[in-house]
Amino acid sequence: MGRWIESIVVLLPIRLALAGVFGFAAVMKLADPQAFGFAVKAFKVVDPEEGGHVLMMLTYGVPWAELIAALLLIIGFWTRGAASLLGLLLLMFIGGQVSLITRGISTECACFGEMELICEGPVGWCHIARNAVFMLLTLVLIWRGGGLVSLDHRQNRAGKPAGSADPVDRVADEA
Amino acid sequence: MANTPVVAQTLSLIGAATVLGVVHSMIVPSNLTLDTEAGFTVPGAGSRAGSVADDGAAVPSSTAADEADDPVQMLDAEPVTAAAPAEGAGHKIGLAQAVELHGLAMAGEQVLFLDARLESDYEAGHIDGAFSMPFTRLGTDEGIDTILMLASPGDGTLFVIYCTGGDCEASEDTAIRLTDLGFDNFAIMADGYEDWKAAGHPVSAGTGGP
Repeated sequence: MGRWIESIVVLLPIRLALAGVFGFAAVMKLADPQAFGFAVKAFKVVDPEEGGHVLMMLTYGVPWAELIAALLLIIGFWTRGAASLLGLLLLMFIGGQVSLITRGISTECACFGEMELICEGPVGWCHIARNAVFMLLTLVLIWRGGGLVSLDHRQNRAGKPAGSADPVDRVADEA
Repeated sequence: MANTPVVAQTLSLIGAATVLGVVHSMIVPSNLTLDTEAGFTVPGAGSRAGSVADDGAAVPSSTAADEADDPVQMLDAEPVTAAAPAEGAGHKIGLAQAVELHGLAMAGEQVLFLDARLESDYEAGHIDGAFSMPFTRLGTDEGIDTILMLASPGDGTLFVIYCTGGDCEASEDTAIRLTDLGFDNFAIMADGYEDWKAAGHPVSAGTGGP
């Protein structure tokens, strides 16, 4: 019973919240990849002349990674993998933002394209704190998985021989 | 399949995102760098050459600029002597050039100053007569309509673009957006707003402009 409550009250809302935030961020970036590319370039981590291909890979790869992870979190498939992917992205974002602040560079986040979420203006500690909160949420999913309301759980029940499914889920099923 | 190890899941997702990103970049390519070799033309410089030279104003010279190793220094130094519109080697101009071009803008020539900084920075203070045009605005219909209201591709309008100064890249990003819209005549101030203001040149604050 406890696993059901955890799944419905904690894990499902976290999955949907992260999916909403990163799905929205991805759509905004994909709507104007050039603007996101400029934002990536403004971090001055990659020289656009020598590392143009890296810039391009980040410009187009990051939003697609966000979108894929968001879709998987909604349906609860490969939840831990999707959360890990978002965790890696967030680690990269936080690193870049700390680097910006320590180097005294003032630039827009472009995390959500033209839109702002919670934090406004140039990249600052607010953006880092916001990403840290998202990071904590991804860690919860990596630790606990997608819960019982997920495709992961359905596949565990349908496709695995007795004794090999996620032990936490098996206890919940038996209960 | 749902029990694929987490590391394998993550790597698979990174691979899928990379493939989709590559395909996307081929379908909708983005230009993130500016051709810094191309020059610019000063509107009305030909007809104004005599009077400008007479009163000591320094406007870019095509002959001098073509030979310049340092376009900024050369453009700062040479007055117009040719009858044809003056051209610059590279898009970068120095503060002295910007002052001259600002004079042309104020005199009603086809010279527009664009502020590529954040809108909040623009509202706090900007070069007198400049329009706020960060690259993000040029990605919106409103921004594109505004710029097309101010000028048309091929009409010879010279955009003088500036940002904070130093190694800020916002000016180049705005210039790239303008290039995508069909404009090719722009100069980028190597010195930014702070240098302009520190030198005592005219500034104003507020939203201003369209």
